[in-house]
Amino acid sequence: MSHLLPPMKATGVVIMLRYFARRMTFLVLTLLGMTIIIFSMLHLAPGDPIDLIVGPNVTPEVRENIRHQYGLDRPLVIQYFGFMRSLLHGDLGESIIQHKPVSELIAERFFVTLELSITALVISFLIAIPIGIKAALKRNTITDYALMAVSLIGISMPTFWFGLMLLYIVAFKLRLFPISGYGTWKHLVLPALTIGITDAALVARMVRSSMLEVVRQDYIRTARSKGLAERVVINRHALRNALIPIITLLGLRIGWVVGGSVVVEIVFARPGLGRLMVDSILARDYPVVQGTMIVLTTCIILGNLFADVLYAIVDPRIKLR
Amino acid sequence: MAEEIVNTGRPADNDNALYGLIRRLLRNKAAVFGLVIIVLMFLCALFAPMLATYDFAKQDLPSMLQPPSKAHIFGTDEFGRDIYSRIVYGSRVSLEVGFLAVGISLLAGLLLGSIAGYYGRTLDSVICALIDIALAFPMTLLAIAIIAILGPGLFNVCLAIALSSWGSFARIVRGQFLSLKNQEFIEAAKILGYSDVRIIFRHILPNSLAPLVVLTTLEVPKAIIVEATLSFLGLGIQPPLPSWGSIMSSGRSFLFDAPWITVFPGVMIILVVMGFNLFGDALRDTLDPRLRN
Repeated sequence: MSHLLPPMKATGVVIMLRYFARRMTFLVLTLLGMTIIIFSMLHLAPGDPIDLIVGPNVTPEVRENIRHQYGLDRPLVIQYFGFMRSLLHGDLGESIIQHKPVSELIAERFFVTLELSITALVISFLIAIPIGIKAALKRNTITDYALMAVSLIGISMPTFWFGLMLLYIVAFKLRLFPISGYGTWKHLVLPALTIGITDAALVARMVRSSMLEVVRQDYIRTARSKGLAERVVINRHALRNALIPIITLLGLRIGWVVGGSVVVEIVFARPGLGRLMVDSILARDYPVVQGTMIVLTTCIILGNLFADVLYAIVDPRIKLR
Repeated sequence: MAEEIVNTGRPADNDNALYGLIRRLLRNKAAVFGLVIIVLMFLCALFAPMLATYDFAKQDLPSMLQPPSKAHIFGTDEFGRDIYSRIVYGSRVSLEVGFLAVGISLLAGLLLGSIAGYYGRTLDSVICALIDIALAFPMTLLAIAIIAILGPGLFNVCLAIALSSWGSFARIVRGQFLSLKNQEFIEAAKILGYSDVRIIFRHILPNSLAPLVVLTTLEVPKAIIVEATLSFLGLGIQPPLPSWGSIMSSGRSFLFDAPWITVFPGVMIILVVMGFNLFGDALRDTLDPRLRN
């Protein structure tokens, strides 16, 4: 009878490889799509793209020169290919205001934003998971209502406002942490807490839902009817299954956390990518805007991919698809 | 039972159910609380000229940066403008942007969702891909990027928010279409020779009302927060029109000397957003508990 049962391990590996291959193709397509969209943005703007690069008080000859210099007189498709070629060589153009290569400006600030985003995400899940589980286990009690009420306030707050409040109370009044800047771990605490706590408010609700779903399942009823202590039922059976969709949550929240760090960097004067982007938008420094957008969206897309892959590894059921 | 809902496809037959729904909704304390906040905000926006104690743009430099007092309930800003009055007028901006942005979003979502759901195949795949892209991006970041192209201003802010949130609407409409498309009353309509447009507007859409109403109530607060964020960054509503976000933006420079400029608009946003969220959640639970996901 053994010929009817394929060796589980080999089949599992093949399925995983096929999943990876599919995911990679999707990734490349998404990245390409993103570059097309960001590239088109320059041309979608009302008015002549040249106006975004030079000021309005320029003679027609200079305009034509600049237009030729930036290759804006070539057909769109050719422009796109030129854009992609430079991109793949790491050339994101040059800042109009600062006259430095965009890639250099970005490299200086990349780690600042990365550090903030990752720390915020970790803080968020460290807070949200215990709270969500607690609220789910004590469903419809005072604890649940209180925790969910706090989480509601958390979701209703603008992140930047919470940051400003933390700034005032903790940094200014209590003098526990520096007001702004970048350098030591102390500079990281308040910005990371700002994003982390506001994100945790939402994630806690999702953890609670997930946990409630799991606890309703038949296999939990089986475990209980086997006479297992409630603590064992929860720790060994419920938790593991409830935490699996939380990993997909990681992927969803990465985008939000990166978006949040844009604003928080401004509140706490951290020299990161987000601040660079907003300053460049206000200064009409278009090449920098384009460059930072590409970098930020690529990070978000890669982050989502990472979470998807993690989920595929952790959830054995996905291998069966 | 008088409240039994029979799906004949005609919304008029559900009127009994509607009355029962409203009663059930009003029994929910959270819903009532949320609704009260929303109504109060509307009234505040509507009667702003009567509720404000000063002209929101009037500068009074000798009185600048005053803490809350009898003369100025929420204090004054760096130009001596009354914060309370500015907040009252700011409610107009928030509501305008909230509803205009979500309105555009709803229309775009309806259009694209219907096309995707009704016509299927290639159109569906293309629109689905667009929806995935629109939903994958954090709303704030996408809105900032769109403002980068279009420039700041009230209408551009609405457009930016709409372009970031239409995906949820489209997805719901598409889902409704996909599930209703094959039901018998639609087949009957087709056999009777009704045109596509008529079927869409008089048969499918009215049945999709519930989830759309819930989503609208839950998207307005998101729009309000994004508008506040954009205005805070200087990318949104331009002066002298007061937006809760821009009040906090100018207040930021004086955070340590005059924290009231920043505190009060934020508290207003929290209250309003909470109101919409509470009401929207209650609405969703009442209309269809299955929608909570």
